[in-house]
Amino acid sequence: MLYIITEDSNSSRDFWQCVAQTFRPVDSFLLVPFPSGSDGQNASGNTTLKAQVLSIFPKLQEGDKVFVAVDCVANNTQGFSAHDFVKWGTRLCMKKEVDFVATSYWCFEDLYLSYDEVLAMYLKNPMAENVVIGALQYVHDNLQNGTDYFDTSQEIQNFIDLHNSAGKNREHFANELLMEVTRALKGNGHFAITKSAGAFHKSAECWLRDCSDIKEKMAPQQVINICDKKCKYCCKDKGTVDKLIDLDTRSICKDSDYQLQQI
Amino acid sequence: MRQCYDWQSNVLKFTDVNGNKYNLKFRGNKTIVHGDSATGKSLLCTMLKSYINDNNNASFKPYNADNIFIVSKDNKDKLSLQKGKLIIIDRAELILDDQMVEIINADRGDNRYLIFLRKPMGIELSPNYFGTLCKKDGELQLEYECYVRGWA
Repeated sequence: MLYIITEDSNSSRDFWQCVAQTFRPVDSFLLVPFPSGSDGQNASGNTTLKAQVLSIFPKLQEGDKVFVAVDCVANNTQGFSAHDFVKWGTRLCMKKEVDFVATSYWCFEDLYLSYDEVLAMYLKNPMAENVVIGALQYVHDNLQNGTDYFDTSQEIQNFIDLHNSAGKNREHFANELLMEVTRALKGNGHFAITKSAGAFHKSAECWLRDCSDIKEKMAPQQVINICDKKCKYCCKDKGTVDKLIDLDTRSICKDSDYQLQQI
Repeated sequence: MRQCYDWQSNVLKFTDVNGNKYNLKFRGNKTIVHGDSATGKSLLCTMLKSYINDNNNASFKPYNADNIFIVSKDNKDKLSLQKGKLIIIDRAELILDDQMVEIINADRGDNRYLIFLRKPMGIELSPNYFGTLCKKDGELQLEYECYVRGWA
């Protein structure tokens, strides 16, 4: 059994649910529900991760896997340390011979920033800006090489000069850059990735959902104008499996200990 | 005079007056060292401070520590002025404030950091860069706890 734990109900939860639904039999995984807060509402956030692990711990059996999608593995706030959490979870699950796995990226945005297709599509965009191209290419190449990109290079500095808050830390930078890049692809389809819940069902659905399902919701003329004429995505007219496999083989996933298909 | 800290190789290496050897090889620009008391964290800082402060006995100084800045409560306002330094913060939980954390998080390589810290204070750093000090081959060394490629 695979237990999927996420920090909150944002786009990363949608993403990992979709991955599990695509590559695992339906009764072989569980998206762990959020614990209830003091007000009776569902509580979320990184401080609930331990509670989520503990809530399933009695059920865990040898050979199960606990998969934790952290928003940012570098978060070390006063109430939560990703480093301590990963250590704690690994030790706890070891007691039951259960694998404890955390997402193998710095932050969720890195997954798409490292994706060859995001870079290729942005380069084909006539509205692409040189500063953004420079930053995206630099980030993409560093991620593919397994090196840190948030450094003193001119490409990073130029982007920060345009987007002040991107200089706050690497997670902010990644978020600003991915939103800027995918927002620019909007005219070609629904490719705008945001942090908000349901993004992969709305503004960014073209990255994951079956094209035929998306087209069903659209007016026939829109299908012709956008999907047929403007869409430059290499997985155009394809389904979720093909889209995820393409991401898996052309992003940082390909060099991680486990790939999306191995979830 | 030898440098205690070599920027190019990113290694802090020296022998103190008592013959204790230190050889810390860093993985990136920022490292958080945690772990038990009496593992040598404060001793390392004390020894380095003596090389930095002992200007009067310059001829007896075995090492140059000019590219090291050790943060204390008295000089923490100078953190933002540093460039090209290995910045060491001992007992960081007693020294760091929100403004300093912001400066460190936004620093993309102008300086490097060795932070001795017992509790999370908001420094953005992946588990790849958390380590402990340990005695190995007669030297005090830095041992990182894990490595995941995507966390680099």
